[in-house]
Amino acid sequence: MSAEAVVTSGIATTLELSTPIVFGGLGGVLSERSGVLNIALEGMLLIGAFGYFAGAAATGSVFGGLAVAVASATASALLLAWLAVHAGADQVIAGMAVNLLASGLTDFLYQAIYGFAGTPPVPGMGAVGIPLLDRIPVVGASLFEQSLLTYVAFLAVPAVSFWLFRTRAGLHVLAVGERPEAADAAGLGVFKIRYLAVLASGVACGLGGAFILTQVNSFSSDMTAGVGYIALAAVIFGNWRPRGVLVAALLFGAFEALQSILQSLGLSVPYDLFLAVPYLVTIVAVSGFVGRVRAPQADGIPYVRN
Amino acid sequence: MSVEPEAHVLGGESQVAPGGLSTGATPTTRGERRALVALVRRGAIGTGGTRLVQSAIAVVVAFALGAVALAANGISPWAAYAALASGSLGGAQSLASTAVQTAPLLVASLAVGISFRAGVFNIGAGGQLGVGALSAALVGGYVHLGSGIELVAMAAASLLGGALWAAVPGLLKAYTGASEVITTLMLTYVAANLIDYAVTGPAKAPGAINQTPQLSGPALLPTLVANTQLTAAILVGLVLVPVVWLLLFRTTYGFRLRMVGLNPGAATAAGFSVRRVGVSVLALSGALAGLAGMLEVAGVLGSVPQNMSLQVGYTAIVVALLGNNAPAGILLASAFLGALTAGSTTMQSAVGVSGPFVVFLEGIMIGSVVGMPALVRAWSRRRRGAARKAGAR
Repeated sequence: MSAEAVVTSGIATTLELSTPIVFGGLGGVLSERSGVLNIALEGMLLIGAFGYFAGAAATGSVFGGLAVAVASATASALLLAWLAVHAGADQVIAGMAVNLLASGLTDFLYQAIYGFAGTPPVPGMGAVGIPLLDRIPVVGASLFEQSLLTYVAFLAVPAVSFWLFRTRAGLHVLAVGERPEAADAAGLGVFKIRYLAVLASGVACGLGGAFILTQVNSFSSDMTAGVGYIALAAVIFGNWRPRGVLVAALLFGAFEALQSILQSLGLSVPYDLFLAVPYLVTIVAVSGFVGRVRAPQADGIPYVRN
Repeated sequence: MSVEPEAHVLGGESQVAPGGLSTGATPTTRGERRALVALVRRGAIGTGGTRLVQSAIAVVVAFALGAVALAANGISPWAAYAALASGSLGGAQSLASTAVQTAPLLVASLAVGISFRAGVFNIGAGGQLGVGALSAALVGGYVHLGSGIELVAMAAASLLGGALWAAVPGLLKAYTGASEVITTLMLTYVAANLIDYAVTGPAKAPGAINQTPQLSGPALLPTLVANTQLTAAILVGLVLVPVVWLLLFRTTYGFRLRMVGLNPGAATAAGFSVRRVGVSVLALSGALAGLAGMLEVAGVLGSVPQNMSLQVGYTAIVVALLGNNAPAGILLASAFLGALTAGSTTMQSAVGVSGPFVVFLEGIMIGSVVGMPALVRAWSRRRRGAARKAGAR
């Protein structure tokens, strides 16, 4: 491979691998900033992926796929919200419930619906080039010839960041996630805001799941393969900030891309150990060995109104 | 100091985790009894009886919703459930396969239950199980000792491997405050990658398949019933049930462990080191989970394969919650979920859906268990409201 080809494919692969992490991570930030711990990202991404498959197969259109992906992932988020916000259930267990449900239900439905008939072809989402920018030498084609969803993911980062830290509604979310009693006393609807924040994480995961599916255009059991947990890692490593999530996602993505490039160059690398790195750096980050990460103060605590 | 996301989930007594606490046996001291009564009154925990009812309702809810899901896809729920029952209970082979599925699940669930009792969220039992399985497979595959000693050495390796894997989150929590929820979860994926690295590289057996060397002879658990997969693994699990019960309810250590889970503040005031208990509980929980891995590898699999399923770690959470974190309850619940898993193979040939459907049921069960208190509260509020209205009239 020429040096140029290495750079091009490195950038393209990095962006591809980062996209679902960004979607999941933004969902995680929104939900956790409101005080709802979200370990259900994995399950919601999986439901999003299946939703795209089922929707696109039934309607034969990308739009149908996206709509069902977002709707179904949001429905699973509604379940998480009900358990975590309304029922005041332990949020770790609630998240596990959604993950198990997602893993079982998607695979069951796949078997039940397509097991006998075989899988229909689903319309995918090809790369969309951005005029002029994609002609930039070396990096143009890899940066600006991406799936539409990749652009959406990366543009969503500054948008969510601005919304969360610079708008009234965003600050309400932060208030509810830090001091729910104070927010309640000030007249904010803690339950409503948390519900909406968790639902928003469902929307993000729906898009992320759709992206994962359109990478291969067919569904397979547990196809998200831990991306949701890497997204959770990105939330923590990124210090519960959208920009931090972006940096973490690019880092994790680049690392995996590097590994595949090294492999394609014929260098023997312990592939599996490379894959463990995002999880390890997250453990280091929550332990406070490097830098400092700080969770929203009320993250994971059900709010009980006295 | 870093602040971790959810250490406080189990912190103060006002944030008692519904799944994390409760006792199945008689409280040992008056103070403890009083604390328990207060918790029960507040609805933070249920008594053994109400929890049994809750678990039973959760199972019914799961089967009912499962039936709806089946029917919606044109599959007869009756045929599916009949296949599930005959594949798990109908005949000696089916019962044996239920016991085979139950053994590692039972041990892993005891591991999870112990940690929940202490208010520690070990949700990474799957990773510890994987490391235990790998340790046992390495000893069994490369170190050849006489019969009997071989299995003891493998068990010791798995206990140690699991304990060390879980001690890391324990120490991190004790000394840096890192939440064990995140660290045990992340370490599960590290374990999965470590296993894949080992079985494709340094510990790969000769031949085309990516796995550790096939265990044989003295490294395999003895078969109990000829022509079945039923091995002594189930006996190990059954022995551990009373052992864990004695540990929890008849030893000082068990008392400390439960005290820390019920009320860390009071435990500290009483002079127990919450930190030390936390680390030791995770190590103990990890050791048991590791042993579950050994049972799986020496009892069923015969070697550690690539992409080894660590799903048992999550199923164990469902079992611990359904079984109210009590050894007897865990025995019942693991036999039940073991039966479902065993029966799913028959269901596959009968109606074409299998394992995933059981995972779906598990998801509903765990959701119902944690969601039910809220439904009950809402229902009793409505009833009280109706009673008030009737009284006003």
